[in-house]
Amino acid sequence: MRTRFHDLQRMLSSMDALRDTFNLLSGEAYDRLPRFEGGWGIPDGWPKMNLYDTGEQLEMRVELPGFSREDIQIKVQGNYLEISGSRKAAGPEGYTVHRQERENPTFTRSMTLPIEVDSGLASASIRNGILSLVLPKSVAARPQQISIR
Amino acid sequence: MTQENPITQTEKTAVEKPEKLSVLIPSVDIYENNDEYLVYADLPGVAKEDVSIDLDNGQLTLIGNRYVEAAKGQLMEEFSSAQYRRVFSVPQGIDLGRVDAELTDGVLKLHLPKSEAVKPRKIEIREG
Repeated sequence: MRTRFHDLQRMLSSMDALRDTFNLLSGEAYDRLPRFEGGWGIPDGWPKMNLYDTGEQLEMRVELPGFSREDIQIKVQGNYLEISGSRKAAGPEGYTVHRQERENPTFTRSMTLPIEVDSGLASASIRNGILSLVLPKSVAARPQQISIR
Repeated sequence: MTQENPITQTEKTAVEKPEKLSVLIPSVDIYENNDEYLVYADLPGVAKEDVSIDLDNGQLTLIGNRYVEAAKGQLMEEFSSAQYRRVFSVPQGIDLGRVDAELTDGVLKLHLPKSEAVKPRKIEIREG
């Protein structure tokens, strides 16, 4: 169930934030572990997404640093949304690697939207590493004014 | 670049940190070749004007503020406004005048060229 998962994920990412805060306060040389090992958050919850309901449409933002338009595929149908992509694996040629934390070159994340959307009118853009999706609600799902005779 | 990243409380506070931003530690890749060190940092949603890179006394401080408008009708929020912040120790021999930073698609690419004196050099052996 999306709702329960989200609550659990929220609690776990606030534990992440708490851990990060302790890192800063402790003042010690603290090796930052790669996300999938050190984070308490559930691994499927990557990349991070925000979802908003603005009345007429759903808007979604996804953190995707280092991805360009060609690297991402978005599938929308009814109330099903799937986003997948892969960015070029990090390293430039000819360099030794001291540290490599930016993992996850490939991902897929799908979800059931709370409301049906009109896939024909959906649009997406990406800027500064944030993907923005605009998903207008299908006509039946929009808020309707009901006039009283 | 040393292996450890001392995440210390620096004496000087970041000038641009508004009260409410929580601090996140950005993921970085650090590479090296004969000519330079190269740092890639994931800073999604950070605009160029909101990044500050300070190199002072062997310490590199990287700060990027990211603002997410709290839209109404929020159903799910896994990321929000935050300050990305990370401090590194930097070895001697960086040519400060030629440091170059580029922010594209939310990834900061920071070039730290080595000054001539510290570049690897082949040493010829003379006939004795």
